[in-house]
Amino acid sequence: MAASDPDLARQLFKANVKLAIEDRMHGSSAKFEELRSKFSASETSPIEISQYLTALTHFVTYVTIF
Amino acid sequence: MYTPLVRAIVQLNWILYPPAIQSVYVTFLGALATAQTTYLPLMLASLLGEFTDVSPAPNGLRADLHLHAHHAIRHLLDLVPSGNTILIRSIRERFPHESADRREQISYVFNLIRMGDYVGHLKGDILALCVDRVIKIDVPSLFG
Repeated sequence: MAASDPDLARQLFKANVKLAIEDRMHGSSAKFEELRSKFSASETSPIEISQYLTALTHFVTYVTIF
Repeated sequence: MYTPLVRAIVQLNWILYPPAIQSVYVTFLGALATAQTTYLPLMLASLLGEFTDVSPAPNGLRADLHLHAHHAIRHLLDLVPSGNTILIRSIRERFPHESADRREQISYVFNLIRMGDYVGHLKGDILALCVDRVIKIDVPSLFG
């Protein structure tokens, strides 16, 4: 995922994480599995990991999930 | 429900990430531990697992990398004081097996002693666990 605008990139990661969480909540697993695999795939860069973790931290802190 | 995701996250080789990303990682662990203490055993077990890693570090000393795991453990315990009980249980469970590589055993015990710097009140319990393990290793070698 690439975006020149850091805010846009942040929003995109957040949207992806939100989709994955909602996917899991509704009993589906495609998006959730996609997100999980980002953390196990060797091609995911530390920067991407960091973006996903930032988005997850937001949801863990401000939304009752997990 | 989210355990597979949390498991994938705690298995990351985060200790080798640049400091800014390590900080994001530790912040996430802290947020999750605060929101859902049920994931704390998984996190602590994974962090303690770093102490048995004696493989050569890409840049510098492995012992320096272990300090990052100490930092994360300390952060989690600051946020979740009840985590001390979980920590002791995790320390016991993560102890390398008696037959494990001696370097792993030494590294683990060395880091447990280091842990005494920030969990002083658990020092006695930690030392008791170490002594117990040393006896378990030593007795068979004397009579074996």
